[in-house]
Amino acid sequence: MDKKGDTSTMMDTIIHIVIFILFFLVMFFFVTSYSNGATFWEDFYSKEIVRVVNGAEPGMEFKIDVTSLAVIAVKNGKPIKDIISVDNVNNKVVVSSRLNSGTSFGFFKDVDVVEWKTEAPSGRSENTQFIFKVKEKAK
Amino acid sequence: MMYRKGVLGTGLLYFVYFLMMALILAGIYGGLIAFFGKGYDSRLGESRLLLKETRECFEREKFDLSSLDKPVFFDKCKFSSKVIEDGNHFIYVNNSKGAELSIGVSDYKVRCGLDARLKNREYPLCDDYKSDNYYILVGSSQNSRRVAA
Repeated sequence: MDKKGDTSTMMDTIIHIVIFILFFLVMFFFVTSYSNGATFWEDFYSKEIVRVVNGAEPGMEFKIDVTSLAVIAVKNGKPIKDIISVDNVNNKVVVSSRLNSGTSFGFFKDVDVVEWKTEAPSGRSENTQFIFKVKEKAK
Repeated sequence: MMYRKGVLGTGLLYFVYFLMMALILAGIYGGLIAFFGKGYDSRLGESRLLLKETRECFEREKFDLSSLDKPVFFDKCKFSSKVIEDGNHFIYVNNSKGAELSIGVSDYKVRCGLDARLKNREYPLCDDYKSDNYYILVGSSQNSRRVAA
């Protein structure tokens, strides 16, 4: 039998509070990622890099300025060298300016993106470039 | 088992609680989209590039459509089957003899003509090309995905 002040009442309240806190934490990170432009720039650069790869011929080398993304990544504590990566197995470019989360987009051209690196020549986020080469798919 | 008065009401309040959360979530999401926009739409750009690559490949390889199979097409045109067949792409080719090749989501042949495609990012934006020998229709509805990184 449940009585007033029983543990189940307290458990209900605790569950409510935990759900409430989780919900607002998720909302907080969601809104923050939008408000500092992380979501937008990740989406933009993943699609632009893929567009370049899709239109490229094997042997081409590219340098793309990704300063807007690097500035946000530095603010979020993400190392510049980790903001862009390429998954040649699944043909995906992954762009991330936040810790533990990123945005991916697939390229339909069956090529390998190799020797890719993101570097800031000045050591700061300004003039950050994503450098990569496109070559024939390794069989 | 014993049930006290009000237990049902307490249970129903959970529904109200989650409904309120959903409303807040929808409100904040709607506000963010209204303020920052839906982001960069690359569907048409990707379709045009896919059409260009397909067209150039057909002109270069002089395929016989009646005997062309998918692996040969992917290999010769240097397309990734994983991406083209991921449920967000479509390539359709036919010739004057009635032979055809369809890769990806075949329903896109219909969805390419729907007005909803302009507003709904889940629908494809398409591009086509017609020559004396071939008719090519391609479409893409690929959107970026959130992943752990």
